[in-house]
Amino acid sequence: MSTDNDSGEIADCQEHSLLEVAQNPDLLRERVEGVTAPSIDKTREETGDKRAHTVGENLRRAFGFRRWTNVLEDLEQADHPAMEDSSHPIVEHPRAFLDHLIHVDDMDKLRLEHGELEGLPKERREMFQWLRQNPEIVQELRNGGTDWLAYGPKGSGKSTMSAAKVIRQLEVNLDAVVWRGTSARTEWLPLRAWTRLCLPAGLEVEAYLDPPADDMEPVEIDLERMCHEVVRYDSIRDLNHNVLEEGHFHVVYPDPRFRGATKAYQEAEEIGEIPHHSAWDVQVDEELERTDITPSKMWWFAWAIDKIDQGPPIWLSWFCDEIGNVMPEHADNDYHQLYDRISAFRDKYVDARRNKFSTFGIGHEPGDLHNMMRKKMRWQITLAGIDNPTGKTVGMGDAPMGRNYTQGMQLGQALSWNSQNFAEFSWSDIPSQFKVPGQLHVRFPEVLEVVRSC
Amino acid sequence: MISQQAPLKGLQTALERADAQTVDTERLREQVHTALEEAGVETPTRPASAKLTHDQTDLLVDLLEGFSSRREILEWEQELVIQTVGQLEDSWFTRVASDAPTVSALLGEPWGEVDGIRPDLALEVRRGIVAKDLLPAFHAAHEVARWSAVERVDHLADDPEQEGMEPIEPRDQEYPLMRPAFGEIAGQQEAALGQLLEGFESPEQLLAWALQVVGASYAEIDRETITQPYFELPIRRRLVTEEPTEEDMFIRESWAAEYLLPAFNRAADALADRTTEVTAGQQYRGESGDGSIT
Repeated sequence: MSTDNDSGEIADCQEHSLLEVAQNPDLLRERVEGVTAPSIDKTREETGDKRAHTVGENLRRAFGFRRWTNVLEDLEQADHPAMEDSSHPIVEHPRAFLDHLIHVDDMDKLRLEHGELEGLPKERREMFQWLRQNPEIVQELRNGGTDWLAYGPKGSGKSTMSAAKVIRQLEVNLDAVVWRGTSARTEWLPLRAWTRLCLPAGLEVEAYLDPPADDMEPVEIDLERMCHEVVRYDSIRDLNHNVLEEGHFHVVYPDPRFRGATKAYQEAEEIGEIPHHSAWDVQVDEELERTDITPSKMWWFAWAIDKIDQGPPIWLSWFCDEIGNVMPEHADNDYHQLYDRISAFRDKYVDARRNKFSTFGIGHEPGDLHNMMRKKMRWQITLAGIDNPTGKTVGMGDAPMGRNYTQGMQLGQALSWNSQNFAEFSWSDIPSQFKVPGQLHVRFPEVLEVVRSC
Repeated sequence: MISQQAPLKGLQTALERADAQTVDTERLREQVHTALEEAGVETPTRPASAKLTHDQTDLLVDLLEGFSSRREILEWEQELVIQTVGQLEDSWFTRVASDAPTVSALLGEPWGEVDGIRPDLALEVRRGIVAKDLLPAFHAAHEVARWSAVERVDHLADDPEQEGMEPIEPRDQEYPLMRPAFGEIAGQQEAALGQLLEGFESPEQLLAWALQVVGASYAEIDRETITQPYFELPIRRRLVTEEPTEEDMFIRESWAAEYLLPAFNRAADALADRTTEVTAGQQYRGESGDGSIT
């Protein structure tokens, strides 16, 4: 008992197999709600104590990941598949992977140069110490926010990879991580015990877990019990300025009232205004019909634009699951001015890097993402199960790969590349106690009522 | 020398912080581990000693925290046997797991003939055990282990042949004191104790277990003692039953406290200066060949 304190609380739910859990509503609810993050209340983010460990480190330990610096040291020792006396491609070609993972700004570059690492969280400090011994890598790290588009077919490990990326983001960077919450997809559930769930203020919410067994009724879930914290936001700016916190993992559900959304366009520089019509607006406005209600996913454009334009100046990483649904290739203006919205985001995205805003998109294939944004993504991650390109690509010039590498890959492996370099990487599975059988549905019942009355 | 002084300092300040009514034990644990890791040197040159200190820290904090059952106390004692390298008195283990006031203090609730215990008094008793028994025993363990702890300085060498040598991370080590023999005996003892508390399905199983205990105690358990549970029918009935009553559990636990743990303690003592140190436990080595980022 003394050696295993970190996982002690979690071990309790190991008494039953996942199969048993999936067939019993009480066990299922306990599994979803019962996982707690050991010692999360002792973290730097929760206590403000600079000596304390971070949420990222807490997560990394719970998921059994090695310290990132240890991974880097191992990668340094590992062989390059094609070059003698070289390290693993991740370290050998920092532009392919490390560049988009490690977020640094001017201040960090100065810190690295002068070895002044005081005040940094331990894991970031250790990584900086490693970087100081590898100045050639520091040179390759671009300042500011980064982005990638990760794609692969269903079951290619996108969610698991994203969870690993979220954990590493929180461990080595200072970012507030935001996961796009949707009513039907909840790929973030393994991270639930560390999640700050951000919901629009003043709206009742209900959550049901749809069990994998067909003959079972949906199980009602208490989100307060399930998540580390449930927080409410009044408007987009309130969310960005007062609710999101650096070092934490957030799952954000869009506001169906679109509070502060139109204002985001109005006040942002160099883009035109695009309106939003919530169900409540349509209910009272006789000229509008039910089909004019703006779909909630349009909220994300306003949110991202406002963060980039109006701050706050915190690091922020947006993990956009199913990015092809938000910014589809076939977008046109007949459908709620979707084309204009993507275009506005694209224009604003020029400032994203400088304003420490990163976009990490997850989809099925590169063609799903609108080409305007595809061109803005400086990195792509091709997962096992889909061929990596070898020639001309949209927005990335010629791919640097001379042949098909992902073809020979197995589940849990992928290729990270930009127009110059590529590196393969892999990740381990999510510990089974964090997995949840079935899908969680999060709904705002009032919205449905109002829509019906329109 | 710096490396040996500094951890103690860190431990002291951490312990001072613990001087409150309620102990934030997880925080204390974290602080001591961090203090140990950050003290003076980047990587310890005698990782086996550092590993011992880390493991002892956990046991120390566990005690301050208190326990939720007598079984937990016994399991903790079994680990303590290993991490003190058998340097406590045999009778200490029996007393701590059987003496009613002590057990009540460890559990923080009434036990045996003790009707009630004030939480602050319970904490005071636990702190007293740390100060009076645990720290001297840990001290003695370090005395036994210190000069046989291998000095590992390869990672500091400038020799190009040695380049790429990695320092030994004490906390990644699998075996107590980095000695496989201790890992082996710890595992055997844990299993033997667990089986006794769980009980046996048949007398045959009980006999087989007796042989296991002989091994797990390096034959430090008396010949008569180990056959006693079989020959003395009242005890045997307590051990060989599928649905044990509270009384059965009490007898099993008491037997463990009276005979098993003292024998385990003698075994650890006997083993102390006959073992070899190795590095082990870093199973991930080489895994990054395929670029694992986890």
